[in-house]
Amino acid sequence: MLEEVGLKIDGREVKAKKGMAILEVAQEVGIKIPTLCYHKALSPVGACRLCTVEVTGKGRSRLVTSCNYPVEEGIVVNTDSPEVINTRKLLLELLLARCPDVKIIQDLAREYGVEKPRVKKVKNENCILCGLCTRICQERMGVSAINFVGRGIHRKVSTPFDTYSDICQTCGACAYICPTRAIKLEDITKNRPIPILSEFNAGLSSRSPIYIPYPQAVPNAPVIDRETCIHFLKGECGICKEVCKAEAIDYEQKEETVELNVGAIVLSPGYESFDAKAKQELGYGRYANVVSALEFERILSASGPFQGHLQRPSDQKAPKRIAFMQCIGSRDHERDYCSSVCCMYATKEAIIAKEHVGEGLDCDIFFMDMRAFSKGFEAYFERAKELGVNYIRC
Amino acid sequence: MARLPSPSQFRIFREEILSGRDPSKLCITVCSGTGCHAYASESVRVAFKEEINAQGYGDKIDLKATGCHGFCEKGPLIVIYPEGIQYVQVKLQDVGEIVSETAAGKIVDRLLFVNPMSGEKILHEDDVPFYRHQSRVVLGNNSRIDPKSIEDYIALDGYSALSKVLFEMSPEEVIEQVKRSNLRGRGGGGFPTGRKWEECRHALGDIKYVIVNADEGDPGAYMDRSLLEGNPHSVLEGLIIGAYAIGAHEGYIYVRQEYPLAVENINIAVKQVRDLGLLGKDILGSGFDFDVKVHRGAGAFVSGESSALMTALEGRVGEPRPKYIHTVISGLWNRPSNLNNVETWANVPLIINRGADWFASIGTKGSTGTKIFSLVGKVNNTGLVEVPMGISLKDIIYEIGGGIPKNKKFKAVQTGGPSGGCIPESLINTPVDFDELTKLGSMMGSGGMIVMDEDTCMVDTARYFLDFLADESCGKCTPCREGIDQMLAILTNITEGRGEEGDIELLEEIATVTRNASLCALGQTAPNPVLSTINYFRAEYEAHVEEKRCPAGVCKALISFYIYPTKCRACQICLKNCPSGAVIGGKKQIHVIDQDKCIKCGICLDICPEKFSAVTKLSGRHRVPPPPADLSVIRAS
Repeated sequence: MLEEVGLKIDGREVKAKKGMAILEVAQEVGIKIPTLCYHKALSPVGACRLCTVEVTGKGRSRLVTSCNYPVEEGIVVNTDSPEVINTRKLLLELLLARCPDVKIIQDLAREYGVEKPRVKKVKNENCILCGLCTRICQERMGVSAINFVGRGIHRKVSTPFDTYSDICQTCGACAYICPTRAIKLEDITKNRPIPILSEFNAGLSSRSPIYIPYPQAVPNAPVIDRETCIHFLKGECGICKEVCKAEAIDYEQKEETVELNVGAIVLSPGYESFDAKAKQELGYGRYANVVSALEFERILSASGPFQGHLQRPSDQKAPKRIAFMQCIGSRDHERDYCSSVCCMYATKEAIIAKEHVGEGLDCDIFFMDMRAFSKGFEAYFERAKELGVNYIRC
Repeated sequence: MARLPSPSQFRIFREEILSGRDPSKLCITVCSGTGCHAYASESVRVAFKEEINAQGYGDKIDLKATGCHGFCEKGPLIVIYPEGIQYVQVKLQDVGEIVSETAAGKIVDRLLFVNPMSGEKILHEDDVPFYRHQSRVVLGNNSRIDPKSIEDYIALDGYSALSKVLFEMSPEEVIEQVKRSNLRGRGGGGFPTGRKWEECRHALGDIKYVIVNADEGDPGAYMDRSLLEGNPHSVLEGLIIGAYAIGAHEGYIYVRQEYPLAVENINIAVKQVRDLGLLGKDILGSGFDFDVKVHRGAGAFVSGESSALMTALEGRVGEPRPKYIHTVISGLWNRPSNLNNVETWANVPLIINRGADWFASIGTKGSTGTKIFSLVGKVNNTGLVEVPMGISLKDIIYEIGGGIPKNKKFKAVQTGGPSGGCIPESLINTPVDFDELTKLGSMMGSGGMIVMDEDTCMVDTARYFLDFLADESCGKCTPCREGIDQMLAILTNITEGRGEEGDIELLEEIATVTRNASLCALGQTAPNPVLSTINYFRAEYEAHVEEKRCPAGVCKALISFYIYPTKCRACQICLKNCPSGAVIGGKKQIHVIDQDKCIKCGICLDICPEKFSAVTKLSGRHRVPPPPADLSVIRAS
């Protein structure tokens, strides 16, 4: 157990573990200190200097960067003295002159009352040189594909010799952590990232290696995909374990067989869906906008890839006409039976699609025989026709 | 050479060296420091060797190549011992005469130094005013030893301090001596060396490092270079003593790759001490192990900052890191590391041999000992000077430096390298002292001293230094990277006539934040040239901004060259020498400068015969008048 020290931040008595940075302590007690280059998963570098605070101790008062100044017994920290505010204000003015179009700088500058920099040399950079990208690549991914190049005002983030990196693992951590979207993966590597497709959204969207399998999952807890997690693949990263306050991450956890005594068993064997790629003539797998009924179901869903907005996967625009092809994978030479469900779910999807998009959408259902056989199905089919769904017998 | 297994063997070794030497024997020493080297001293040395043999004095006259003496202005320097006769600016054709006259016990009168003030010739090196007012305790041996010869160093008591601490003193006693001497870091920080050593000794950790910072980067400064080139063993001895005191067994000498002779000489020195058993395992049989590696720096000004230097030693880009936890606790590879400057280490053997009280008796209360400065700029005697702390700037500039050339007026002196401040004439009696210089908004730095005369524009000076610092800032932190760049942009605008109201105040504002908020000393001190020149020469800034006038006549955009029609005698000298063909005129026709073509190089002003003095510089309100209608030469009535 580390020794505890007592200090004062903005007049509040605070206890903290020795060696913690002032910024961490301040954040824990809810005191906001601005910073651009600090990230709790990375080593602090004190580059942006925005987290400057005034520390009084040992008989003197000085400005220090709170992200890497370790707390000491008895120090008095002032996070908003006039000198601190003036310092941050001028730093933001300098940063705004460097990056006039970067929103996070514009917002922070405005917060400190800087609308337009007085300095004359206005550059037009997106990169604020915070070094989050270079540190995550080196410290957590163990790669060092990018680093700082050049000195002074010529400093920039790049690969060695400004050529495509051959060690970049295309993980995208740099682009993910960049606060200004200045990092473009295509500038770093020739490889394109392969998205991890969401099983729940039928591959229409991607997910991260840590994910909750689906909304309202039981148990409703995140899992780590060992196939794609950098920690399981390379032994690096491990950020999740550090930041999880509940200490719930256990990399050593194994699958186990548990014996339970239960009163009843519900057997849900599920089904195997037909791979529509086998029907090449319909374009599935070749055209982004040819989707299976299950995929279309996800597109319509509020928890789906487009948050329930009906969009074409190719360009995220609303469709004007939708054709529903029935009996694909059934009632043919290989499978001579009827699925018994596609008439009704096509009808339902067409109705909901029209509800979502409105009058402008035409829905045509190409069917062989309408099989609305259960209770109320026929009425539902009739209602669809009233709503404008067009049925075409083939 | 065989390893010396004990202090008594070391004493015997020294006695053998001394007994083989005749102090009354003639010895011609040729300065082989970098300054003299640039004046071809190496070919002079070779000529001496050949000449001594040719004239058959091989047994009678010794020849020695020494380190830098300091009076680089007058190189190549020759000093003949035992008498200490000095010849200056010796050329190849002088060599034969020097050898024959020396052998005959005569003097070559024409090669003696002539005091520019009195016109008298000065025979002995020590009597030259440049040297007479100095206290050359650290630098003095440079002129007496061949830096490539460990025997020379040992003959002058070298490594006796090491032998003394290893066998007669505990590490604590060594630290106590250094603390009592009040030696402070010569690299610029001025931190008390003894306290630093003590903190490092008490720091937790089995492995500790000692480091020599020889990454001297200030433009025009070469104190450390001359020590490493001229007396590398003094630095090495200090380092080994420090390692013993701190409890370190590994050391690094971080020397700039741009100092090839220093790299060569320190490597030779390290090999020599290792061969003699003064370095390595079980030094002199004391049981103390210590070894050192020479690391060549890859050339970045900021790598002279201690944490950046350590980062560079680790094999990464030399960028500073925060030092809220001192490097003596967590430095190189996060282990306790004690870094000192070349000059600091070189002072250590002196303190051990002569005692802390002797050292503390030199200088002021807060700043003891001597300090080497590189005296350059508008001063008659440029070179390396070693003075006791507390001496006034005036004494350095006038007594040692011989005043300002061409009877110009002294304007300011900049101390502390590119990020030092400019001290005006009114404060020239200030003593050279760590704290006094800091109070004036300048600093001791590593010992740069640039003298400026009345023809220096202070705004342009600030711009010049900021330009250097903008290049050398590593760019890691916002205030240093962006602040210096913006200050430079404002200063450039002011010197180019685009200064606006409010610029001076904005400069002050940026300078203050850059000073307060930067990560390392480079950024924290970078505003010094700006703040000190605004502080002491504000009127000059205002003249630039408000009147678009450069009082010193330096800023090209704000000046025009003009030929007085009444004074011009149409001699055509300026006309013929103007590189841009901007002088219009002809025989018997007064010359006029075409302002559109003029590149403001100033050649016309320099070249116009003094008896005419027809060319002048105009600035500000004094606009160039239109040329007279009648261009024929006006004869003096």
